[in-house]
Amino acid sequence: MPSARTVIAALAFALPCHAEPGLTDAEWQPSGIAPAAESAPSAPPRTAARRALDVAVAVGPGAVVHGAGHWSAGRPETARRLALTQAAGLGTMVVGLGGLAITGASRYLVAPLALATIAGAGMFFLPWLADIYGAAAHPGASGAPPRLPPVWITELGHRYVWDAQFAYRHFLVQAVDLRIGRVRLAQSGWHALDDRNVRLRVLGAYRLTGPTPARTAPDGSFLELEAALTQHRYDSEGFRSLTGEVALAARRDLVRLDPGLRGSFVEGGFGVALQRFEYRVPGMRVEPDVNDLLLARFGFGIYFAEAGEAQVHYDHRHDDYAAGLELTGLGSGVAGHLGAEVRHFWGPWGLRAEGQVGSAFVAGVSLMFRQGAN
Amino acid sequence: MQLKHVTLTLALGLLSAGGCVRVSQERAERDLEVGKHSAHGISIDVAHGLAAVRHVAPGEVTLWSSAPAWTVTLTTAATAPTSWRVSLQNVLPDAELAGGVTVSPIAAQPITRKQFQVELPAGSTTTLTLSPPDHHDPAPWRFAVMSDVQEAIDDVHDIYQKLNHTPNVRFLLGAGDLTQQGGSEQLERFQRELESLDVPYYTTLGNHELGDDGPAYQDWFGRASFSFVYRGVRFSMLDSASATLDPMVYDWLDDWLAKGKGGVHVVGMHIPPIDPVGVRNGSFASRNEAAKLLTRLAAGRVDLTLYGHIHSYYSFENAGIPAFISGGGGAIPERFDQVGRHFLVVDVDPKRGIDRVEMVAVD
Repeated sequence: MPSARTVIAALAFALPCHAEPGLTDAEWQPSGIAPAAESAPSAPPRTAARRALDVAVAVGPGAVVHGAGHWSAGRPETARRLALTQAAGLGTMVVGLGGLAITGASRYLVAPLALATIAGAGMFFLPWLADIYGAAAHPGASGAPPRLPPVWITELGHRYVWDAQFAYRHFLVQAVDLRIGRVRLAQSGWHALDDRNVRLRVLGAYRLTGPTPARTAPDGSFLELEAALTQHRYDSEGFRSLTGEVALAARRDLVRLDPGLRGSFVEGGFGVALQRFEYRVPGMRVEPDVNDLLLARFGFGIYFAEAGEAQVHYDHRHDDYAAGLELTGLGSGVAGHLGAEVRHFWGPWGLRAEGQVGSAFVAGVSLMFRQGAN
Repeated sequence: MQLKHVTLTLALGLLSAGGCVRVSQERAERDLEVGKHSAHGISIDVAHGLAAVRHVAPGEVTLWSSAPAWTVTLTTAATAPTSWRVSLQNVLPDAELAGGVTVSPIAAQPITRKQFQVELPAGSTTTLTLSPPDHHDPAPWRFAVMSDVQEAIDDVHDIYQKLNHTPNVRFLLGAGDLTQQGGSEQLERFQRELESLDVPYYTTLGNHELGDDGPAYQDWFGRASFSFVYRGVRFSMLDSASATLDPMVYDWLDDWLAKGKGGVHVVGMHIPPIDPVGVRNGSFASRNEAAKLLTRLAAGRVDLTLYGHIHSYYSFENAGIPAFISGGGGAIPERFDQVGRHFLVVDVDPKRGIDRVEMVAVD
């Protein structure tokens, strides 16, 4: 039986935790849990061959038991925490999926049960990526987030969207992200170059914990409350949607779990949206439809030495360009999409590349400019 | 971590995760082959694929009907037999087969099966028409709707019995999930159970029919997307079993919508474009595709939309069109909804539209 302390440690891996501004890494301890003792800096450095073996173990056997790579690398306590998180994720998924099956996805219980399933999936899969990262990471070469986030970032780029259902392919994408203390204001637009299709979005967020342009934090962990409004015009198809949403988004740097995972992080979030679809059919008035939408997201990422980050994620959205995965069989329609994103800055200038796979393929690159990051 | 390594890994990972984004394309292409077959000196071509060719042997042809009326063109080789036994399954009990050749009925059981002895001159092409006597009757009439049987196949005869005692129902319309996994054994069992139903069952497939090795459904019960007209009402059944419609199906739908614009048009499919409980998303994978489909249905003046997939009963509107989700065939029910096994009875007046949709409880 695992001790209560290790169970808490496992849950702390996946759940956002409270980051006290102003604390240093050395002072900070997640939920009163001490960093794994075997991860002390005095541990002998691994050779390249040894790291390759650890990565192979993390990828192979680690796919079944997450943490195998750390166990191979001589960090059994971290391995145990990763495996426990995986087990907790599996348990949560079983509760969620089992509940959905038993209740026939009852309208009264489907939201919490679906959220439990998605959260469980995140807790189940992300430790595997953390295990591979920790097994591969070179001591001293890990990245870190900027101590102060940028005051503003602008972005201009191109996205290619391949969707069997729609004629558009090329989009001009622009975005602005402004931080004033704990408040973040963002605007973005996707403008089709070969179709009458525009997606405009404004977002406001309040940072409950984590670094702001005026407040340093020990790492990049944060907890943020978001509200957004999105208008999507499919004028060539004769409909438009307006979506209002609120969500809670969190990031946790995994250095808090184990110094060997320095430079990596997990993200999660959930919320709810209300959508209004308006149909424009010539010669007739069509009643609009209003519907709700569950928002949920989890991801794993790494920092590039204060110069950017990369991440992979699952997003439960069904209303953006990528939308939900089209699966054959029992999962038809339910799942959201997968995505990956890389941001890298060279001074104030940067590039962002992203890709998503759902009902459509989305890929593209943006040029970015930032000010205020330190 | 090197930037280029990370970027490459992510790109390859995404590409491998993506797979195919036209998941129902293969089924749409197979639809085009339904009703066409050549063997033993005879070539069969059922117009619009409204019947599946189930069996061909020297002097014998068996077809499974997906609609009350259709035509079939039979072309015989010079060496082919001249006397053919044509067996028709899943047909209206009063339907007749006729053409420019001698067609003699033979007694058959159950009542949704018909057999005819047909004389086909060798080396000729003959067109036969299956049609019930009331095919063009403009008077009001009714049909029933039932979907989502799945693992409850052992008890489905209860529903059929209740349906048999519901007066004046001409046929049963289905929105898929007849079986648990769609294998041949389960499809055969479903067909066997249908023998206790006194009216034919015209249905599309559901996600439970997709199976692991590609759907056998089309070999058994015909097209997944099809359209037919009966007594002044057009019915268009669409394959949404993968939470999307293939672009080929949209092309067919545009044609069916144009043809059905002047009259009453009923559209059915398994997975609804929009789940009335949005957080559940038992609906299309893309909300935007759902809106695209509903815009077309609204522009096509569709009178009624019928869905399955969700094991309960919902009455709502989508794009202003009356919509019903009826998944009452017995599959794991949605709890706490006060709805058990059920089917719908739809009263329709070809001159006025949909008169009434009533839920009939079975338990």
